Amino acid sequence: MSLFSRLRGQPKPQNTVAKAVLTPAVSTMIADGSVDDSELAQLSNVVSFSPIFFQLDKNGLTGLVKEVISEIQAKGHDATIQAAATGLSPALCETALCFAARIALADGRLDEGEKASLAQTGHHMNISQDAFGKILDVVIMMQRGPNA
Amino acid sequence: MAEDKVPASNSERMLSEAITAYVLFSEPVDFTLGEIAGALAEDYPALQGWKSMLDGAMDDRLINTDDAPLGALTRDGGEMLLFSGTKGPFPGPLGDDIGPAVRNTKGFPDVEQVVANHRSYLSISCDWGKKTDLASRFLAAQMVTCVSALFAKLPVCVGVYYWNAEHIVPPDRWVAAAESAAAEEWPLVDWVSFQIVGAPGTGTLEHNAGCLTRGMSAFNGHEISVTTAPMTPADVVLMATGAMWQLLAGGHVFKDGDTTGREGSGEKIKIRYQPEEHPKSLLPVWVLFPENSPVDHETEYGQTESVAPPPGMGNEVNSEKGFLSRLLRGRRGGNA
Repeated sequence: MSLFSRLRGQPKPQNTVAKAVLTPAVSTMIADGSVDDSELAQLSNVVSFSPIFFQLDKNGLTGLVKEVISEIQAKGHDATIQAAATGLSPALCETALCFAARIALADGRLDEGEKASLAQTGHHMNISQDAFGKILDVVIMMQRGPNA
Repeated sequence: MAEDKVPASNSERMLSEAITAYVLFSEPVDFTLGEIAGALAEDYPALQGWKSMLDGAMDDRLINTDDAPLGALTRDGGEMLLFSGTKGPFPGPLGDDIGPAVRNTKGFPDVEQVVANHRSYLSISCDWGKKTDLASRFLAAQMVTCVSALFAKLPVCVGVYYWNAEHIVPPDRWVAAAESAAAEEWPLVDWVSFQIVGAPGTGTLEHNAGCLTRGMSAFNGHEISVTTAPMTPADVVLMATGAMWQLLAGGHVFKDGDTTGREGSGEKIKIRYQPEEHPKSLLPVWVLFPENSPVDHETEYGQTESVAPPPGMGNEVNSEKGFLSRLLRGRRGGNA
């Protein structure tokens, strides 16, 4: 039950969970050193059906992405992902890795470098080898091209 | 006391309809009228004196927005603020169409998603004893905006559907509108929406825009239209807002054939009157013709009888400073 008296004065959601879930995907996205509008649009599409991001409009999402990029630039990929993982449940760590895998596989292919990077993310997020394999298998299935 | 007469025109009907805001929530909210009266006095001290209408005492009954809420605050036994709703999200079982409101909404990028995902709502309305003068209508809108802003401040509020302008405003902007209204200023772009139209056959709105307001008639029975011209949507909205400000905040009275423009700009905007009987309108509209509009106002509305001032003479009418405050003081002191 949401009581007016209890809610009154509470801050609006700070999107900390959304930001943490987004972090591995942004890390993957900027691995080549830059982010363009099409990549942002792609990320927006990937997260659009997730209830974690329902409260965020496009500007809000762009703002979060910029925050994550700043953090990665300041602390590095590994430390930023490790910090994000501490704020997430094991289930949401899996969700975060799913989004990162979607971004890595956006071109329909997963090269060895991307696979190693995802494995590192999975390690930081304490995802078991078994769960990691399942996630990759499902995302690969989702990203198959019309001639598969 | 309420004046129970049947409106003789659409313009009168707009002035007699309650000012209404629907607060949209991501989950149902429980509240008591006593809490709302207390929060109102705390956040907007100028709006004190409201209490539950039940036996003149604060009502501590818990009201849930998802349980067909019904309640009222009243002041001095006269003005009344109603809370109501239905189970579930808006529009509820009455089936009101929120689609046009979504289309009219500006500056709220994901409004469709917000509307689709909200789970509960609360209607807050006030007609200020059905009084139709500008001060009473402002006070009704001020009251509805400030009380709904108490709910808009909650983390579970996702937007406010302001019915009289038929658009949806993000919570933070609605709270800012309430701050303005409480300070006796007009939050015009939140109490009025702008339907942008394009010049026929041009195919683009970007540089051939016009607009029609919706919501000003809740205050003075009229709307503003800007005829399409080589202007951006932002410019036509600015022009319409300027004219609204003149009428509502500046105490101006437009006459058919008047000319207006931003002070010191040399701009000349022709004002023509389109009565509600006109085939193009349902309400009386002040139609603004920008200087560069390809449409000839005399072809559309006939010749004007206004006469230019003699050479060297000006006929500028300045805004009346403190116009609204004076009206409100008179309203409180005279016949509140």
